[in-house]
Formats: sequence, structure tokens, C-alpha cells
Amino acid sequence: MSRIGPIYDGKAKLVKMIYPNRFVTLRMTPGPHSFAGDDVGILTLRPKRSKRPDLQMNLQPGQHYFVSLQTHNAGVTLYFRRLRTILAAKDCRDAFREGAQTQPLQPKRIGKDLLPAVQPSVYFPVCAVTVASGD
Amino acid sequence: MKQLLTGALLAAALSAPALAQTPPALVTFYSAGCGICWKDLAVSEFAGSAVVPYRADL
Repeated sequence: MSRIGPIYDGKAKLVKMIYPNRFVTLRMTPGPHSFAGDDVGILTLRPKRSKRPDLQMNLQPGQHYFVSLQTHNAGVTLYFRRLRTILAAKDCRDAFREGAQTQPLQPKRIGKDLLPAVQPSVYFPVCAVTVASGD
Repeated sequence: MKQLLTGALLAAALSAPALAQTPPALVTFYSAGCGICWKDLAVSEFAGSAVVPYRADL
């Protein structure tokens, strides 16, 4: 299952809300980052910051990374079910296979402060392809 | 000596903007699939664990 919910970078909320079948590409400062989602209980619908370990990534300049958001469906019954966010770093080929038909996230789902950092893209980013010269 | 100094200053001047313009890293966050699949919840809830839940993304 995919995820409806925010994305955090450390303590800061990076994306207000990401919806199913959506993607967003952000230009981020290289260096260590710590991404996380939150947990939602069906009964309470009150999101909590995930207690799971964050996804630690050390971003290198000029590199492109892909992070999938999925939901782990946990709980005993429908009403006491808890949906936990799982963030996973993916290879660009795997990411493209999974997310090729997703659409860009609407700007209103992204914080205004972060809008300048968005890398505009109509389609899901493809893997960088090196074109061999004919010489 | 003067040439060395000039060269060093020139190199420093050229490298400063390069350092300031470190290319950013791109991170694509995506959520593929059907979101909160009520079909998933319903099927797995009422049919028991022997039934493989419907997955729209498979």
C-alpha cells in the first residue's frame, strides 16, 4: 500500500502531505539527512510521528536518490488497525518501475518555504542514461 | 614570487564560486499504489489470513 501523510527531514516537516500515486523531487543540500513519516490509527485518525528508525541518508552532490513511501498495515481488527509509514531508499530502476505512472504532487501539498526547492517535472524522473557516441 | 602570489589569488578567486555552487542532491519521494486500500482491509479482515489481500500494485 502507498501512503498518505507528511514527510519529515529531522524535526522539520518537509512535505505537508503526500498522496497515493504522487511524487515530488526536491533539491536538497548534500550531507546527512534523516527522513521519516508518521503513524495513523484508523480509529483515531490522529497521526503520530513514527517511532520507527528514520531513513538515514548521506546525500552526495549531484546525485539523484529515490525514496518510496509505503504503509505497513498492522493491528488486530479494522478499528484498531495502525498504519505505519515505511520509507525505503530505492535504486532508480526499481523506483521507475514502481512509480513511472505516478503524477507530480500538487504545490498546495508542499510547504511554501520549500516550493523553491522543488525540481519541476511532469513525469517521474528516469535514470540517467549515458548515450554512447558513434565514433 | 609575485607571479606565485598572483596565481594563488587567481586560483582562490576561481575556486570560491565553484565551492559556493555545489550542486544539490535530488531526492524523489514517491507513493505508488492505491493508498489506503479499503479492499485490502476488507478482504484481509473478513476472509482471514489464508486469503492473500488484493494488491492493486501487483
